[in-house]
Amino acid sequence: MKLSIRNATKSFGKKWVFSDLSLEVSRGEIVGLFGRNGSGKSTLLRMIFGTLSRSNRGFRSATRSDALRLTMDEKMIAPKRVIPDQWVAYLPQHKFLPARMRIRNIVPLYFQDEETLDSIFYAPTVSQIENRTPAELSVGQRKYVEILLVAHLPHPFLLLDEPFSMIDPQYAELIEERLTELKKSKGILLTDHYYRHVLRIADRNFLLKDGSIHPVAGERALREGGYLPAPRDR
Amino acid sequence: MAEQVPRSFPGAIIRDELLHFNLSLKHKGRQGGVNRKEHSPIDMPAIWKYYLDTTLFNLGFSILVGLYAGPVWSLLTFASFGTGVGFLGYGYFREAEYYFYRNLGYTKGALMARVWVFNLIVVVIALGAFAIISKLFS
Repeated sequence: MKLSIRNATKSFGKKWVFSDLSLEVSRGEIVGLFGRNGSGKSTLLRMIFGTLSRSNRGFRSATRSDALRLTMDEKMIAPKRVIPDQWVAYLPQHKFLPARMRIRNIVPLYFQDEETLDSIFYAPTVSQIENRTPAELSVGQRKYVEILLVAHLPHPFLLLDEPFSMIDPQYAELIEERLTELKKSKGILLTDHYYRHVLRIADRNFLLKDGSIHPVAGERALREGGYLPAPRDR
Repeated sequence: MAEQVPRSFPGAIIRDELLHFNLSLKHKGRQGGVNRKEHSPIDMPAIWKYYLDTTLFNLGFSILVGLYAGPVWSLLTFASFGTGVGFLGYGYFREAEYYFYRNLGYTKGALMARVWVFNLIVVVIALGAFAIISKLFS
């Protein structure tokens, strides 16, 4: 199963974010997307998910220049069908869990079958935080719970916007393990400035720069592409 | 699973019970993309969570209207303008939580439509009951 993003174009007013950008993600792989702040990574993810206006050659709320064609195995997916048909799950940068509910009450809102509930509640460290609310958790703990929830959804593809940001090394390792395990059954597109984590788990990496996308192979390529600073002479 | 801790205040108990009264209902439509079935309007506890959250704003506004204009106007407000106030309040204070529902397959419009339909049903029943009670005691 392959998710194809074609001819993605987005502008905010007169400012072009990216133009005619194409990318493919297959089930069974993790694709890393790098880019400096404001390069349009999150914008692209939100356009794919359908929460940012885009044209499928005729989506009325988008500006004339905004476009993105999304296909699943060459079958076109209309922007308004991405969420209802559950093609793609999305982990946003910001918190999205109900702030004042305990974790043990939030999880059953997503899942009711015993197997999934056990898989989440018996995941490492969850027993220590299940009686707390997201507002009482650290950023790392909350993000870990969010990833666990999104990861267990049946959607064939996952978009992860900064899953490693503000996460301590212990949780980051747990998330890395979880994502590596997940790619057996899903295609994952993730973006994060914690590039070492991404490089460790991603099968392919791209750099979004000046509105277009370039394949990159490692730290050196990221440096050459201007994403990482050049090493300083001592 | 870890043992449950006592829930400390009455509001929390009512909220938790309301949210979990239909947890045993089988959840349909989770296949992801291909062959996905449509959600039934009331088969998910998450919908009730959204309903309760928006209704809190709606109730506050409708009660205020009721205090000023009477119970019938309060009910009419609850099903119309008050529902809109509920969406506005939720959007203002909890906009980010829409992603919680989007991952379950519910767009903002789909959630709002369900809440509005449910409020209409509630108000029609309440107005009917109000009319019967008024007739009985007149």
